[in-house]
Amino acid sequence: MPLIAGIDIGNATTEVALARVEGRDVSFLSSALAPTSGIKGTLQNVAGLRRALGLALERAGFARDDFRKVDRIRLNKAAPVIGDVAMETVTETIITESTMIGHNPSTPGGIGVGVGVTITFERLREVRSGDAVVPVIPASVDYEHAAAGVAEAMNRGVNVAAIICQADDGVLIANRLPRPVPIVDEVSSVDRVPLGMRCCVEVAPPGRVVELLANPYDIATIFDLSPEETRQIVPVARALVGNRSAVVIRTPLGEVKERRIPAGELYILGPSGKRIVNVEEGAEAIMDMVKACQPVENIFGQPGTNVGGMMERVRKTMSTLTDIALSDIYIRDLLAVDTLVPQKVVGGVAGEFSLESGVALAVMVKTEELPMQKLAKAVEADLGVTVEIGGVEADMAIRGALTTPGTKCPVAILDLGAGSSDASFMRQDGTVELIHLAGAGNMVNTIIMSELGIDDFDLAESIKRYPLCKVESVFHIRQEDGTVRFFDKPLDPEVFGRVALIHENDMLQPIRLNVTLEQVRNIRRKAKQEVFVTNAVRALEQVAPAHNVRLIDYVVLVGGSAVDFEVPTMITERLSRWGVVAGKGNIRGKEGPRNAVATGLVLSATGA
Amino acid sequence: MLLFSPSLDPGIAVTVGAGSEEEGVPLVWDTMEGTAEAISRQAALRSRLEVGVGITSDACAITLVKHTQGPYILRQGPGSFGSSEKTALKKTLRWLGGAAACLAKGQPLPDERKEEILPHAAETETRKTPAAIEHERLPQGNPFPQDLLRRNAADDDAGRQETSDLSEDEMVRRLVALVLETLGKAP
Repeated sequence: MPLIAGIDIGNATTEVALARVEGRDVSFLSSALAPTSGIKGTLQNVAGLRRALGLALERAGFARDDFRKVDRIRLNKAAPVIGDVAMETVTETIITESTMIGHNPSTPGGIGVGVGVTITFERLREVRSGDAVVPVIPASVDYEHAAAGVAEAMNRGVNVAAIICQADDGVLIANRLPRPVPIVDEVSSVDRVPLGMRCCVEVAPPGRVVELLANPYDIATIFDLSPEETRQIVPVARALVGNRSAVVIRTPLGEVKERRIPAGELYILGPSGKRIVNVEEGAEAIMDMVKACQPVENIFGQPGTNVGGMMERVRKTMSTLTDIALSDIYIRDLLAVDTLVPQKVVGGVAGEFSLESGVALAVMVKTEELPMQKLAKAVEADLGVTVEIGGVEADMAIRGALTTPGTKCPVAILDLGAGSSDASFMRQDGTVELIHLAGAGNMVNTIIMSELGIDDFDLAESIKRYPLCKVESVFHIRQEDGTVRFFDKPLDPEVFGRVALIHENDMLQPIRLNVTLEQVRNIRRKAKQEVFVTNAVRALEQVAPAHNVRLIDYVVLVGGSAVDFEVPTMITERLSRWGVVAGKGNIRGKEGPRNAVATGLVLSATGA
Repeated sequence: MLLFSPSLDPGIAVTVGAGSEEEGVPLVWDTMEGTAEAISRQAALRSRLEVGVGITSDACAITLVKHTQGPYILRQGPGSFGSSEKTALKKTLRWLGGAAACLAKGQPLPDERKEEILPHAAETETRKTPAAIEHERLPQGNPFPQDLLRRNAADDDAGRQETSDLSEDEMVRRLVALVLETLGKAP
């Protein structure tokens, strides 16, 4: 019986199904997957293909490099779509006439509010009694010297209103002073604190947050601001909300320049002409407009605005990836998600970030047919095995998905990958409706990275894939559903007290961020809801008979993102409102949602 | 609770104490002969917060009462602790104090590298008499009843002369007696 390998090259993974095929009899031997090497559809894919096929051969009992045992390889005819994700703020932080320190040192010193003029620590001994001052202490001054110097000044009658220090010495200094004053410590760029300026320091009691400096009118009262100036101080107050300690310093006019870049408009070209939507209206308005313009022909951003720059970057990336001229890149779909984008605060001196509302955009670009024939030839030359291009990817996915027990035609398939979300609907007569949509696993990662303020893609991927826990003691963790688990062996000091991810085999990966478990969980779930659930509904509406999702009976979820531990239940829950049977596929009754296209490619070889 | 070899400069208590004081956790100290592992265990048993730090000339350890398999954190060898460079030594000592405090609070351990931005750690040459340190070990706004702290400090003073002669059983017996007495006094 000839040995046939069905191979599906996706954006993120290459999957193989290996089977003996005789007439209409198919017996599957093994399956395997490996990361895709290079961009889908390019000659770089050969390396990943070799690895995946080698694994499948090994699992079927052959030598890993015995590629000639395979009689025929069937490759997928990959859909000519590529997705990309970008992120932009819709508002810009504007801070004028004020410098602020709004960071959250873990242990600030003292409690209360102090207003005075900033001076260097050295000049403290020259200050006359009765003057209200805020000494700025660099890390080169030891806490004992600092405390002694400040105490001496206080005893002379100087009103030391508060202290700003560079080292993590806030509590140590506070404990050595004759009377408590608020102290903000761990201010990294202490040399950038303007001197001789009026300054207000606030440290809230443990478990509380600053109230005075988070209120624009209180800031106006302290610094004697006009109504117009108060309006400009609002971003400062907003950036300080939720901190336990904060500093605001009034600096001379024009020291911190105002910068305002409008969010901009999106121009969506559809069959009914050009429609315009302002990004400031948010993701929902954008998506309504995209829906009204179906099928979308192209999308542009307003030149000279945030969104204009962003769409141009996407076009450039796509052009580089696909070797298509910039003017020939057509953006055919767009998914917008409201998100928060950390922005470095202008005028901040401790590396402060404020979370600005922003919008994440995933776009889908239709390309020329991917050069699959060229790839097939390369594989044939490399492995010495006959290679043929199988049918359209969506057909293959349906064939594969129908091997899930409990399914029947008509059926809709949602293929949730890394780069795109695809949906196909097979009618009773075998005809297929197909749609590719922008936004999938990679967009979830982008949103997680943005909202947590991290730039580590691997960490974001792990946060997406694994459930969370809080390490509560050396021997136990509390999982995100509240259950407690005990360990025989002590947990590593690296994870102690931290929020961590539970990998396979109970391996814990600490998240080194100052966040609570609930924050990370909410961000993760919201990102998945807004990308996968939104796209599932959007995709099904487009392929369903009469665009009515209620008319679909069965929906099978396949693809890498359907392996996720919560996405399938989110989609099942959403679709159950319409009485649709939806769930994670189980290809061939044992593969789970993976391997649908590869299995379909083998099955289609029987000619059935 | 910090225990260290009698041969070491008592000034190290100031540095370790600074680490825990910044985290808002009180620290009491004493001297004792033995390996870092052994004295950190003794320290943990004597500590009301069940966290003990042990320091000798060639190693330092943090032990938790409930963690019976040995020290939870152990730094050994000239590379890490016995470094002749004062900066590295002070950095490690202050980190130890901070780490022990965080273990008591159930918070993530401080980043060891964070202390690198503290150049003054190298420049400080001030020495304090143990009495002065003892005084400073009672930070303002202490979460513990003052009479209990004083009692513990007094107990430590007594222990300073006798510790090395006490058997472990004797230590535990004294600790239990202290706890019982304290509980009896509690309102």
